[in-house]
Amino acid sequence: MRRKSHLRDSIFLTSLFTIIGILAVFFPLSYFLTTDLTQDNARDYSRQLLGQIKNSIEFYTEEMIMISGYLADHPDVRVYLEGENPLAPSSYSLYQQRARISSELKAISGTRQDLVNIILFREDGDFITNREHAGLTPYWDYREFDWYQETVAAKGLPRLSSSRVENVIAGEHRWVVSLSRAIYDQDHLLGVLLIDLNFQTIADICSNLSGQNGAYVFIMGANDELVYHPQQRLIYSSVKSERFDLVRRSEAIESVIRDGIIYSSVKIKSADWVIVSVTDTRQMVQVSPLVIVTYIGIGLVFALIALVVSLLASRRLTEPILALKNSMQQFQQGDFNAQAQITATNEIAELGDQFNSMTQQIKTLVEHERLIEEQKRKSEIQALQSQIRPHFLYNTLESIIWMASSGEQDKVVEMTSSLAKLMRASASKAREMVTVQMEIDTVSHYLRIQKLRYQDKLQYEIEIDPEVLLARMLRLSLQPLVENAIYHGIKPLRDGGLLVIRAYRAGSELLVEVADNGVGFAPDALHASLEASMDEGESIGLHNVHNRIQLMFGKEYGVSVRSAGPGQNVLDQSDFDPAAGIRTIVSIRLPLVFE
Amino acid sequence: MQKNVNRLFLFYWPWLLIGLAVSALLTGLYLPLRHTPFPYRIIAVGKASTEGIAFWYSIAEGMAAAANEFKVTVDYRSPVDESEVDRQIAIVYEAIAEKPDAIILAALDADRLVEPARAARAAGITVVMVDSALADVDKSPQQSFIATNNVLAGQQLGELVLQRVRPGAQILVVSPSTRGDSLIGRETGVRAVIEDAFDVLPTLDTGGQLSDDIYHQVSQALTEHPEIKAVVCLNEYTTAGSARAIRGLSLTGKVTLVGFDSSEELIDYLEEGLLSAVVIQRPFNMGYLSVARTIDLLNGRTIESFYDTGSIVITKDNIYTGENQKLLFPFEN
Amino acid sequence: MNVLSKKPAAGEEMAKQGLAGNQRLYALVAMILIYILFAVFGRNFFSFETAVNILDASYYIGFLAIGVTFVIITGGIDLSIGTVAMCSAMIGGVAWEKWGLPFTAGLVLILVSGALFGLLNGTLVSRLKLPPFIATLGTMMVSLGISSIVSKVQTVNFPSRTSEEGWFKSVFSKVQLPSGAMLPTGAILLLAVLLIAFVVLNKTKIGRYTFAIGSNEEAVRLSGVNVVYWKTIPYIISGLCAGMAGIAYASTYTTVVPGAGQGFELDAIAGVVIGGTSLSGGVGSVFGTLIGVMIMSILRIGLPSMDLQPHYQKLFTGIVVIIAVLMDISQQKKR
Repeated sequence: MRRKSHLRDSIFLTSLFTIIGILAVFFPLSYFLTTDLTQDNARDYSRQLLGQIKNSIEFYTEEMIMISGYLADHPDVRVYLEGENPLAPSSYSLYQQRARISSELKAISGTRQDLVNIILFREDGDFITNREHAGLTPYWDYREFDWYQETVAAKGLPRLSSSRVENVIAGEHRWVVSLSRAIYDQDHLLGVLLIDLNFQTIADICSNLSGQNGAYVFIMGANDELVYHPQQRLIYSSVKSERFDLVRRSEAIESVIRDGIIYSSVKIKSADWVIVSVTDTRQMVQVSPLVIVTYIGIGLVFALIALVVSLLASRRLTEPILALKNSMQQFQQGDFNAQAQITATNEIAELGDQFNSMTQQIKTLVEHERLIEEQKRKSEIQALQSQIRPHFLYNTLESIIWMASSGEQDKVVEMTSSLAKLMRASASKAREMVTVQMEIDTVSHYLRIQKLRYQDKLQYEIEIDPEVLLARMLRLSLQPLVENAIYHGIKPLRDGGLLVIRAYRAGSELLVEVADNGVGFAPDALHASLEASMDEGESIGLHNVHNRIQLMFGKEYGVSVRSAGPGQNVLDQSDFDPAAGIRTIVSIRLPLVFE
Repeated sequence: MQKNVNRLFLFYWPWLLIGLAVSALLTGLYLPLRHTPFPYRIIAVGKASTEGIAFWYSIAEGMAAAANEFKVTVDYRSPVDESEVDRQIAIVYEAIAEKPDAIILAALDADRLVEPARAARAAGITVVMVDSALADVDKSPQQSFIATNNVLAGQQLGELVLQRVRPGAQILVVSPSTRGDSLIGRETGVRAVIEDAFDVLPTLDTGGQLSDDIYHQVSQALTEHPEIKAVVCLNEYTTAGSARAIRGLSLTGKVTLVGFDSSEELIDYLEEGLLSAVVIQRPFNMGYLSVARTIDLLNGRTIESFYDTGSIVITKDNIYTGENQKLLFPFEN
Repeated sequence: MNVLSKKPAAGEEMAKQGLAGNQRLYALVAMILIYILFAVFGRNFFSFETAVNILDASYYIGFLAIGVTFVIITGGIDLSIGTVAMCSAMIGGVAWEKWGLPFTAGLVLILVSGALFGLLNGTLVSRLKLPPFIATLGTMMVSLGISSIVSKVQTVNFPSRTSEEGWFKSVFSKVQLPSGAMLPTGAILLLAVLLIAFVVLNKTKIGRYTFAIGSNEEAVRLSGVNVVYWKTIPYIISGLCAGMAGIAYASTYTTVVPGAGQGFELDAIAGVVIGGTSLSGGVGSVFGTLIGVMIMSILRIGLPSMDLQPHYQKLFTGIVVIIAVLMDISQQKKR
């Protein structure tokens, strides 16, 4: 058998592959969009973060610059710096001056905790601090420090240091960021002002605002040294490294993405510091096996749903078609009872309904045709049987022999010729329908034979309305009735009987009646003779004729029997001569048809 | 025909089952992935408290930095000071009872801590040493050791003496203990350099006590041996104690003092000139690397048996330079 | 309603002054309360030096606030004053330091550029009918940019007290008298400007039209007044005052950082609103403005003494402004 492709498979596979195809495109696409978005978001976030940190740090550095500017040109400060060495015991007013400046420094730093030290150095080594008891360390000369010399070289512009340990105060080492500025009188250096901001303030800004998504912030100073880095010590000892080459010293925030790491950098306004935020999106990519698995998982679940849905859809669509197909195959194989049981209500159901009514009609038609054929065949066999019925033929031939031996030559001639005519009539391959006259001729041959056999015991009359002589009736439909009447009605009579055949028109119908005054039918026997199957004895003929007529012309036609039955006298409704004593009338009702 | 169709549909169901199975498998994979990285729990057992002791403060700080970076928990515990070996052993056993993934240990006693470390290994706990290893490295239960190469650091100390003291002079070596592995290494290094050139006295073992006691012991030694031209100290508080002893005996400038590790007090002495130089370690790196390597080990990577975090010579002139500032002043506030 | 009927009658005007006076009183009480609060709870707050610092810190904001009071009375706003002040100072400083102009010319340049920025604002608002908020926001950006371009993003140092040009500090900041006592010339100057502003606002045509425009611009226009002209004037005054503020800042703090000045305008506007000038225009007083500015300065110096740094400063400034505006609205409803 050739391998067939099934509709259900096609629908199933088409919808399945369509859905899976869409998923296969959609999920990778959305995955890549997601990772792209992740990086964009991370960059935006790092830039925002940087902006905030920049603002905070600028706030502090600008405050320090403001304070330094305020103090550097404060009249008291000027007087102090320009005056004689205040340690020289000269004037009381200078001592007062020192005290005033000291309380001024205290007022500025005292209101806030982030300012650790404010120290005013005179060029000659004297100094004033904001803290009453703080002294300078004896081990160093601050004028030799790099920051001091750089500040002096900056000619009065503020200089912001990197993060450093303040080592000018005796016995104290604090981490600070220093703003220093030299104070000049024209080109003559008067002194240096140093403002120390607690480094923790800067470190806190950087560490508090970073730390999400593995991002961190570091600050680079003017000479590319690290002001702040969360892992400064690891970088110093080369355990870790930082891509300083990706840092941009720009007033606007600039982002460089290298190997999945986002470096955003911005220079602050008030000093030569660069704030850099580093966001490692690889850490987000590290999460991405998770994302991939999530996507694949969701994709598979969808694919599974797609599988089930397409399975159900294909089944729902094809099941009625399949049922229809199966019914058709059944039908094709000859089962005319095949009915498509389709529960759906769509076009397929309509198709099914039409199929059902079609099979129904075909079934009826076929059945009808088959019955006609069957009856025809049966009647032919029947006729053949009746013609060559051995008993009839045997008796007739014996009668001929008897007549011949007794010298009744005329009778022999008559009987033999009648037999011959009867045989010819019944054996002829004539059409189904013959004229009433022809049928009567056939029957009269038969009757003549029987008359010769039964002598006076059988009387018969044939009354045909000339009007119906040419009307049509079924061939060989009358002879069985006559035979029936002779054998069942008259033969049992001791004194012989009368048989009457009439044919006349009744309205649009043709009525052919075979009446006798024989023993009559018991209603049971009558019934049996009409309904019995053809295999049952001698009343086959009657039944056979009835069926043939009904098949041919419809249910309203056929053979009817009226019989008085044993013990009863006459038939009530009859236009026969009452004297004839008719007890049984078998009538054939046919439509009046002329050729 | 009907049969044919049925067979086809029977053929689909295994696919459905396979789909379900794969989904279930991926969900199973997904759930643990959501909780990665696995939060390893590490217990660090140090030699002394982080309170005010710069060295251990920095170690703990380095550990915390690594813990934060690698998303693990590190719990630092220690006896209060370095004399309490028994206490440290007890701490190790307590830690084992808590079944952490790893123990990072700085052995106060190279021999006596071997047994607790073995117990930890027997309990399936990774053991990494920091600062001071266990004795008999080849057979010891330690899986890696992160520290200053103490022999090299000792040699640096010896070089400092060589540069500063006239050959043949009498030298005193002061050590808080002769038990700790790190101290043994330093002493070996120092002696390897100075043994031949100088008259090196037997090492003064101060017995793990704090500065006051050391002050007396060193003063006594200096009094007993007035010919001592240089004192070499092998850790922070012996250096401090010796410095006080030298000042107490007004020997500043006459006796050269070189020491090990740093503190605010030692920096003052350096600035003052009482202390000519110190060799310092990188405790932050030690702490950081000990945790980082432990995590490598826990993740099944092979690591070296020893990592040298290096040591640096500090004199008055380089106190306030880049890295040194960070090493010498670990307290940022 | 007939617009003409809204033209303020004499009596109504008196009532408005009274209302402004009312809020001025509240502001004064609030100022004293806030000062006491910091004196009690702030670290090292209560001292003479701190009080001087507060005065010094309110000095340049004071000029800004006086100028912007005019604009706010017209019902407008000037957001550019802070950056205009710093930009003007930067232009003057660079002209003296880098271009070699005489210092006096530099000072004049500061005032002129301030006034020009004011003229720009006034033109945009009155002639081109831009909303003041947007127009002055634009000017703010323009001045920020110009400041960075002119300075080449370098800080500028103004002459020191002892230099040849040091006299300007004695004039605009403070001067030490031979007795050793400090004469706050800057504060005196501020008061003088305040008095002038008061006179201009209350006794001149400029002041009358300023109030009138703020009260009902349409009515003023229908009276045949050249509104475009008279509405430009307050912006020019504001710009001129911003120039003065630039000089005041330079003489107090010596160093001018490029791109600075953002946020100054908020302190100034907050001071104005606290001082009883209505943001919807038509009502205002320069004396109230002075009190408002003092409150802002006390907050600026006082908050750090309670360890409340940058973000808290913004927070409290915002809160104070909201309270002031709410008071303004509730008083308008009463009217």
